[in-house]
Amino acid sequence: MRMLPVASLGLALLLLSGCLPQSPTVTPTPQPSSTPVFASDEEALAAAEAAYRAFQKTSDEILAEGGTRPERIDAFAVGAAADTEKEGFADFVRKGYRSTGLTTFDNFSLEAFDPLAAEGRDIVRAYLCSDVSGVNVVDLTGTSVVAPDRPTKTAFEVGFDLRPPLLLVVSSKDVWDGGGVCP
Amino acid sequence: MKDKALLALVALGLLLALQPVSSAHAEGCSVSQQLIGGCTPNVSGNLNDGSAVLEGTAGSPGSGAGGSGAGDDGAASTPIDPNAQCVIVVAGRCLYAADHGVQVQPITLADIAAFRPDPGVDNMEPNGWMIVGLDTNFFATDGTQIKDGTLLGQPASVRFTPVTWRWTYGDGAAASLGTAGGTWGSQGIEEFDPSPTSHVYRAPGTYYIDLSIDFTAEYRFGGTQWIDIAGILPVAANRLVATAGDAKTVLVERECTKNPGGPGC
Repeated sequence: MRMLPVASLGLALLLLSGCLPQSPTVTPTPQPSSTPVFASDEEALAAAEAAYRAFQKTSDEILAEGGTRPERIDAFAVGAAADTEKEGFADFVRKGYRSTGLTTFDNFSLEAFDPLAAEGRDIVRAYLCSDVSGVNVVDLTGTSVVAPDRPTKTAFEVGFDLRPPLLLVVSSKDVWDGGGVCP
Repeated sequence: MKDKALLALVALGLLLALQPVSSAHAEGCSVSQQLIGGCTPNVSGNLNDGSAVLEGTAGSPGSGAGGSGAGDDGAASTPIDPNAQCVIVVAGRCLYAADHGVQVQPITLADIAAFRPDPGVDNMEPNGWMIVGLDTNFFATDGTQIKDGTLLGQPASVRFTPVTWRWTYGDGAAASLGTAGGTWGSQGIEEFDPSPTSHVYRAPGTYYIDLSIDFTAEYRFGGTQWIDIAGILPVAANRLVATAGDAKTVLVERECTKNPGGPGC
């Protein structure tokens, strides 16, 4: 809506200058590229959580299948996040690892929602607490390769990019060691 | 909206709010890393502080404050698991280093000597006799077999797959074939027709026919994937003893009542 005064001013100037026919054709104002896609923080948070859930589920599936067909993650991740995951998948393939069980998360909370974020910048950032207590990783012999001191819960700060028109995809995922996320 | 975001930040706790977001980052961590060894904040900057962070993030995020300032701008470095290169270590022996995609100290046929495939069975048509100048059909019955046992002290399975059938026909001829063959009937051809595994004897007499079947072997521990074992394991099948005669001898001088397995009976 804030474009409106400028547009009105421009139109007024054009009208004053006599450069327009008397009955100008009214065309819809082009939508700015940064049109807010979520009406509220709640909507953004729900969309981000759904996006992360899909990302986590797909990652679990790929790892359960030994890291094969890693491109499946591309539907849910982009950029550094996708690259990092794919390195992990390739590592599983090389080592013959396979995961069993599902990763869960909770305390998904909004850090920031910037509806006017430029393309390629995180439109949503969120924190979550990831729980791997139900997941095992085994090698070709079926022996667990999980480190004995593996933390059960890890806090992450996750960034999301907008994949038009309305899809959020994970763009970054960093360990959050600031506390307060995993109770 | 910004107000709500701020509220959300505050809700994360006083601790979080006290720390600038930019200084609390560590490097990205893949799900696979998290599953295997856990994702840890950057520990390359200061080992002592890093250790404290590791302990803190195990389950009590509040204590993370002590380590949050350590080495945030250091280069990302993942600790290398000294055993990472060797995927399968059994009895102190590295069998498979998947990092290199090769078997380092591979299991050999000698290692699986305790595992033996069942010998195949050599068959012939007609059964026990042949007509000089006409095709005699030989075929083996065998197949892929999985044998369970112990390998390097661990429960393991070995899978044998027949790949080559080596016949010696007793008349000086031999053939190495890539098929076990089958009955005339199963191949949809008439008796005494040539088949991929048939042989023609040129002189009457008694012949000893031997068959050796080459098996390839694979092994696995538990229910995981099969790993090739280099080499071929030849296993002798039964010996057939059969008499070759000319058509007059075998067809006229034998009757169906006395020889129900004879041709045309």
